[in-house]
Amino acid sequence: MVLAAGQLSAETISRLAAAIKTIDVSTPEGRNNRIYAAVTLVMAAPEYLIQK
Amino acid sequence: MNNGKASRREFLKRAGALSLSGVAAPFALNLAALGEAAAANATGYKALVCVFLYGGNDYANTLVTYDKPTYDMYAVERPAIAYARNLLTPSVLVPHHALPDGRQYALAPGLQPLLGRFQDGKLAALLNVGTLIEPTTKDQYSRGVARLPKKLFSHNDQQATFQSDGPEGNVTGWGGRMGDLYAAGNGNSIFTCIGMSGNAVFLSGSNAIAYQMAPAAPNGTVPINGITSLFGSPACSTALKEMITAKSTNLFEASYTAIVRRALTAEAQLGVLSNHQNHVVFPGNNDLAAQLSMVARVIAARNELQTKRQVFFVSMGGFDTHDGVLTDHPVLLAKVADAMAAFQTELAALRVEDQVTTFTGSDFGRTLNSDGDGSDHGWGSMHFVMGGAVKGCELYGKAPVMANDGPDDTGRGRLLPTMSVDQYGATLGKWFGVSNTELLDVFPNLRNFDVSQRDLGFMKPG
Repeated sequence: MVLAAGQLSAETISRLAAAIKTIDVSTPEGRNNRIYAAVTLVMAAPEYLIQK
Repeated sequence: MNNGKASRREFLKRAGALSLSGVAAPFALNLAALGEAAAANATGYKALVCVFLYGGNDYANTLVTYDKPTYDMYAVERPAIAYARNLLTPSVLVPHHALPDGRQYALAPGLQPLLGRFQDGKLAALLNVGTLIEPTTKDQYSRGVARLPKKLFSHNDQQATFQSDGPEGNVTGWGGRMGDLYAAGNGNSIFTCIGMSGNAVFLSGSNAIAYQMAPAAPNGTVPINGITSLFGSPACSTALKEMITAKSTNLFEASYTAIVRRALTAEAQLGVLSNHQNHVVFPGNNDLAAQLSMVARVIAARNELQTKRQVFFVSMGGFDTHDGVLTDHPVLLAKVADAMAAFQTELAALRVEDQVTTFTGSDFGRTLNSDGDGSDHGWGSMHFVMGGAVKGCELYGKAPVMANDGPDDTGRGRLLPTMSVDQYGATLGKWFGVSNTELLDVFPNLRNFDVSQRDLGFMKPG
């Protein structure tokens, strides 16, 4: 959330968290993928891209 | 309908006054206006294809003066960069109507692939086209009494002026402005104005959007891969797609996601291009050819894409030949000629030769006299028009006197244009179907030219 400087709405955060939690956390690869997916999704979010 | 036309005209004026975007935008915008304009009540299909040579093409080594007296003057003015006369002999143009005073021109050797098009009547050359506000004589220019385009001899401004009728900062181009007239008549307005080489003001209209394609990508579109697969998680790719296409109350966010939605829709529609591969092999290692091959595929899919009027913009850089006129410039011209010849062959295979007109543009011409092994920024230049609807095998306009500060140049052989870009575009626009009244909106300086001079006569009746 540091990335977005607090600009992501609670709704977006919970939506993204729910999606990311579907990635298997039991393997190192899965844990990495959670991080990759989280960064990608935050950086693709219009709320992040549009500075206010 | 009248109300609609009036308000569109108002919109064009206001948008023109706003002036926000970059150089190429005006030309593109203008082109876009063309497209939308023509589609209004369009029947059948027509397309205009602008081939823009960025950097300012060297006119004197493109269409080379060949008759002995003027060839000698040419050779004197550019000793280090003149073609030997015997190299030009195979590509001497023999127009249906010979020029007065025994003047003759030859295509540069690299343009040889276009010689057959010329002699077959599918290609015409225009002698001395350039940006003008009004008809301008050497005397008026010398005395400083003519209204002149702003910032002559400046690349970005003259690119913009050629494409949009105004210096850098103009927001609509004449392609886009034509597109504005036609987009509503196209079943699918997004494909009215299509650029193959990045943003150019030429294709930007007030309403018409210059849709950018990527010739190197399959079907000309670059997919957003993450919305089909994101780190193996369907939930994540779904979340991504929903997020980047969601509506928003924030204006910027809403605008951004609207563009994403539009892009995704267009990409899906262009999937039909996979059914339309080229019939001819376009030359490899030739970016212009790649762009034109994609234009041909889009034209081939005109029925599925529901378009009746389209304006395309393709371009090539490298023409700012302050040096290397005899080494680099021939390579560039050969690529242009190879690409254009292949494109015309493809159009014939698609049976749309009479419905597609291709024309060249550039920032400006260059000086006749040389600067070492190069030439410097100029003004008027030679341009080509190609297609089945062109009254080809002709040279249009007055052959300029080859001189340094002669009657037809402003010094160093910088040609004072005798045909304006507005007249050039209006002649194409009229064929495209734009009405005389609408042409005055698309080409703001056209009204400064006598009614009898607004059509340069190089197109067959639309």
